[in-house]
Amino acid sequence: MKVINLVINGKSTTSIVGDRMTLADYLRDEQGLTGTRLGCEQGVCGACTVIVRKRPVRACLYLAVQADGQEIETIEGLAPNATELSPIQDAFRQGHAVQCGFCTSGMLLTAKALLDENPNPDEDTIRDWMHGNICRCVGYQQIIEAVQLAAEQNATETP
Amino acid sequence: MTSERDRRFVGQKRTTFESARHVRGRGKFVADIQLPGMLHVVMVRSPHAHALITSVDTSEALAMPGVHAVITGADVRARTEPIFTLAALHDPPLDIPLPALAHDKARYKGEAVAAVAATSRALAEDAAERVRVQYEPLPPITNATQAMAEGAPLVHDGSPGNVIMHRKYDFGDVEGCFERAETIVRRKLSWPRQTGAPLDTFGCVAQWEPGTDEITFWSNHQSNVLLWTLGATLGVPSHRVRGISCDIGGAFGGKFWQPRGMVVCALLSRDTGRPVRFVEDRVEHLESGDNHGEDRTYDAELALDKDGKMLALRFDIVEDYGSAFVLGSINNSEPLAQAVGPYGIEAVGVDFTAVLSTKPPQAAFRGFGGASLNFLLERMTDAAARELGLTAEEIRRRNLLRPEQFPYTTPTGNLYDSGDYPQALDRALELADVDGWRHYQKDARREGRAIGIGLATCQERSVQSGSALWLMFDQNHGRVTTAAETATCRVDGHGKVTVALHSPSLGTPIETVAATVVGEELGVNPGDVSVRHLDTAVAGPAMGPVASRMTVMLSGAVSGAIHEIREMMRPIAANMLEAAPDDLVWNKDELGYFVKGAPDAHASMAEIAHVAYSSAYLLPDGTRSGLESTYTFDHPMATLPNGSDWGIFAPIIGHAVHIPVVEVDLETGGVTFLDYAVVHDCGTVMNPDAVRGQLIGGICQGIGTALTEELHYQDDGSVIGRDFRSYLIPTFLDMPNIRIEHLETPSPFTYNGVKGVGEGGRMVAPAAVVSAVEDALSTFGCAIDEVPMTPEKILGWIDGKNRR
Amino acid sequence: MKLSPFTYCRPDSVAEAIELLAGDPASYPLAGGQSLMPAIALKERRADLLVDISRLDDLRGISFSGTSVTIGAAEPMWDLERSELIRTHLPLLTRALSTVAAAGIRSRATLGGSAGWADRTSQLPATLVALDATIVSSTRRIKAHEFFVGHGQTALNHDELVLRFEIPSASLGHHDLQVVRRTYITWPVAGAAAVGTDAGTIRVALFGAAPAPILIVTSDPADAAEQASDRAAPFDDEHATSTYRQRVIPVLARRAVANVLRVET
Ligand SMILES: Cc1cc2nc3c(=O)[nH]c(=O)nc-3n(C[C@H](O)[C@H](O)[C@H](O)COP(=O)(O)OP(=O)(O)OC[C@H]3O[C@@H](n4cnc5c(N)ncnc54)[C@H](O)[C@@H]3O)c2cc1C
Repeated sequence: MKVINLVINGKSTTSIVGDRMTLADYLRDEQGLTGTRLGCEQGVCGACTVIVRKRPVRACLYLAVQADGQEIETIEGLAPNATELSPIQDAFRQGHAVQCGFCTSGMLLTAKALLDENPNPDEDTIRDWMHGNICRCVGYQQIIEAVQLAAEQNATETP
Repeated sequence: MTSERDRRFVGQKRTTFESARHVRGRGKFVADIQLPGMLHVVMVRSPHAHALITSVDTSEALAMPGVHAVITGADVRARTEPIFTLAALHDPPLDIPLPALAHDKARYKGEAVAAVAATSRALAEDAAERVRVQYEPLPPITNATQAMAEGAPLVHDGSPGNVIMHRKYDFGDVEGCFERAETIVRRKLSWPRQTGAPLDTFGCVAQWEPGTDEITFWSNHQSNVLLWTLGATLGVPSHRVRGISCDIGGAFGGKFWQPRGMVVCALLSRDTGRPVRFVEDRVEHLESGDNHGEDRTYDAELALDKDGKMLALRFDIVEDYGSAFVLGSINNSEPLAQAVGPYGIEAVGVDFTAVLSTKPPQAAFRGFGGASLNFLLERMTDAAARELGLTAEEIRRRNLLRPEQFPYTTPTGNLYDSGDYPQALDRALELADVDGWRHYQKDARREGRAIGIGLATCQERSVQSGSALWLMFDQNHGRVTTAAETATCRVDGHGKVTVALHSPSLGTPIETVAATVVGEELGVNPGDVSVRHLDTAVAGPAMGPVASRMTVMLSGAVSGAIHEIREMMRPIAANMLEAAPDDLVWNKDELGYFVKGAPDAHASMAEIAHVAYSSAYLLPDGTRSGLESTYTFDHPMATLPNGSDWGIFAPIIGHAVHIPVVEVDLETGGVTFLDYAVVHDCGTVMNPDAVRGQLIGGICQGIGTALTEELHYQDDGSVIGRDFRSYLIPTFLDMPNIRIEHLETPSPFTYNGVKGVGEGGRMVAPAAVVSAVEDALSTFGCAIDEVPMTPEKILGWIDGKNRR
Repeated sequence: MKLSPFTYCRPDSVAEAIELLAGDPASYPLAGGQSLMPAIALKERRADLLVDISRLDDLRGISFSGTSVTIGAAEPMWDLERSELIRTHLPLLTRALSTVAAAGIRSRATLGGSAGWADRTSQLPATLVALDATIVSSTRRIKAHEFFVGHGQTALNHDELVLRFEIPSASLGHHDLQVVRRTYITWPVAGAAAVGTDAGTIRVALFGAAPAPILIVTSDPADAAEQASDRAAPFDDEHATSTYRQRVIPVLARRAVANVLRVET
């Protein structure tokens, strides 16, 4: 058991966690942030992606104790408030980049990290950046279009 | 039904309801269910593919911290009745049990033999390792040839020779056609196991209520039909078994019938007095889950006349069902709805053998056997084209059914509702620019590059009647033909509309479909409709989102319910307006009833609803308070078998032409896509984005089927493909962009002419991609008769394997 | 699929880390965890003690001495990919890194972890061999081609840590990387990393060809193919058979050398 301090979606928390607890299980079971999905628990599918220091990270391969002292952003922190969505979330809806919704949290966070680093990615860049996230329903094309749509929206919003 | 001109919402772009919660991470999947005191189940699984279980010692595990209970196969056997499978519909019932936990022997690697319930999954996993099971290994059986070999060990004693059943059918004059034929082509094809591999694995939570002896399941089951049978297994009356559906993170058929985890959780909940959850991990799902797709070989012959007209197709199928016969032979009967594809083939002969092996039991997988049958038919068509020196499009042109032939009855008795296949083909050739690619191919060939242009013209049968469940069983009882869908619509006291679905959501946006239909029929903005899911304890007949049926069936149910509500409102409005009910017309713009010829005499839906809910004294005689309708929509067309054929069992027929263009690296066997064009017909398009999503997603799975996905069994009965390092799902970098055009030939039998669309992409893509690779390798003369086309197999074909 | 129990600790110094490792035979350094965690979850590896070295300053940093680039073992691939120093002086490494897994894995995975894991199909050990890297451990300096001894096997002792890599600048030499894979998220089947040297030869290191990288020094594509064919000791795994590997490895070696030559001329 270890004591950890984390900032999750802007809020500081202190918890006691078991050594073997992954960040994903911690977020889901201890923090009730179930939007972080577990699809394979072996790092392949990317459904559990969260953002740590601007980087998309597999929460299933990251121990909660390892994350001690870090700022974590999860899907629950993406929307500015209860009524509005962030541009990338809105673009996923408008572009029908969501079907069953299971890969969606990880896709959104990976896409957000991409757009934060590269506000205007081309298709190849998006494919390359996102390819560690598996979607089994909608087949990627709409997700690429949604990322591009969000990039356009970002561009028009920030003059 | 609204005419195309008057449609308000059907066919319009509409952002899905479901996505609103998912982009916030607020979908509720089964793994998100948290109940006070909930325990977590981990299965103890057999490391052997085939082994007698000689002893199970749970004492050490029971003493571990956090462990509340451990049960074994023997406990399950003593405390439950057998799980219902379709083997029971056979006459006489087949003795092929599906034990929730194996008790006498393990019949595949990963079969559960005991289960531990503990306060966390991690503790349960620790304890599961301490359950001591002793096995006496037996020889594994990993394919049908081994299964049927002389002296093979038996998987189940009740199936001698490991053969479950053997059937032979001639639909039409097969012999006569073959006698008349000028050309006969023959191929042997194989299609190994694959699986849907949704990101959300199967899971359930069970809670047994001690006082009432009632059991509640939360699960990601895609159909609630199963729940009707679980009561009998658990000794609980069916109306005390309750199912609450969670969001489903993809299913692809594999969550249609998942009774075993539910039985285990139910018993453990009863033992511990707590809610109990089981969620498969990725390895459990791939290696030992009840979700694998078909696993078969075909030996086929196609008879053609001198003009290249196909006369008859006959084929032997040997299907390896694994260790049980859960869904019977449905994945072989159902595809025969479209055995002749889009072609005017006169007769079909089928010789079907079902065998057992030491692999997990099969379940449904997107297409229910249709993807492999389309593969067979298209491979035979291409083989015939080659033999006759025709192009891929020319042989098809000579055989495609013509628009004036609909409705068309196929040799197996199924009806094709509508279509325009020649137009689809022409448009696809144009969209793909096949001529342009053929030039490119020629030039590239001079540089030593191998470009291939594929073509598949396939059917996408949808909306099964249910009879495929037993069509091969030759019996006279339990003939299921309903496969109905139910919806409840309610207008509340403020005139707001809620739809309650009787089936769960898995991403095919059925909530959005329901709201769209409400909008269309009532005039309300679909965005203003609230959609819920009913608990099965109060739900009506509903088969759920399987077999590409949901849009057709649900729109039938919702529109039926809305029409009933409109009729309920009519006398109330008539009373309010002091007019004759028949003089009232519903106005979708103003949302209310108007008196014909008196536009000022108007009662709005909100006003009518107010009366219906709060002012009974204003209700006319013979009406009651409330505005609610539960409407069950039955299959629009089903008929029974009639001796010579099987009758109508999946008559809503989509169609597609896929033209992929690939490049094959002749030195490494790698395949890359240069283009992928599709012309698709699913009748009236209800929601363009959703249809596109189903198509592209299905094609992505079909490309996986064609190139990378396989559950590859080793001699010792273990499988390559047990996790995501080896079960190879296409990624962003593996998928081409798909260019799609729609052709709409509305079905005459459905709401606004819609047809099913869920399985289509995967039913066509494998055949199309294989034909593209074969075309790329045409200078090597090989015939490609199997999937997946691994780089190694491709090099083999280049070397001259399977040369024709 | 949860992790089996272990104790986690995060020492403050290399010395402390080494002491912890020495005290427990079932202990492992933990860097990015992108190989170790899945292995523990899949019960392919048991660990009693994980020693987190990812925050040790001695294992961080990227610098250039004028002739070689020094890379801290625990520096995440994410930072290496974005390093201008590495892009300028070791463009082959930048390219190889960009083909490893995906952004969400490279954000934590480290070069030291890749070396420590020494997977026979990984492009990074081969790239280190092609670049003639020197591995500086807590006790010695060792050349990459001597460091990798087999599949999952290195010259490291149990209580020895990789601290950093020293890689001679290869900015003048052209490079190429060939990778064959089944899908993009899985590990490669096989490949070749090639770089031109000052001596006018090309160093090609093959992966997926044998339990450890194979180094070929040549200046002729055909010779590269022939040597590759002779020296390959291929194996079966879940992605391909040894027969397939034997067949494509010479092709990849030839292509890599030919591409380096093509760019050079
Ligand atoms: C889905 C997926 C796909 C992947 N695809 C690829 C791929 O295509 N190619 C590829 O090369 N890799 C791939 N990887 C692996 C990834 O690159 C690994 O994470 C990396 O090889 C190991 O780095 P790490 O920092 O995560 O090491 P860890 O997992 O932390 O450690 C790996 C091993 O090295 C040891 N170790 C770590 N640091 C040191 C040190 N400084 N000194 C001594 N020993 C040490 C550890 O004890 C452990 O045994 C993939 C991983 C995943 C999850």
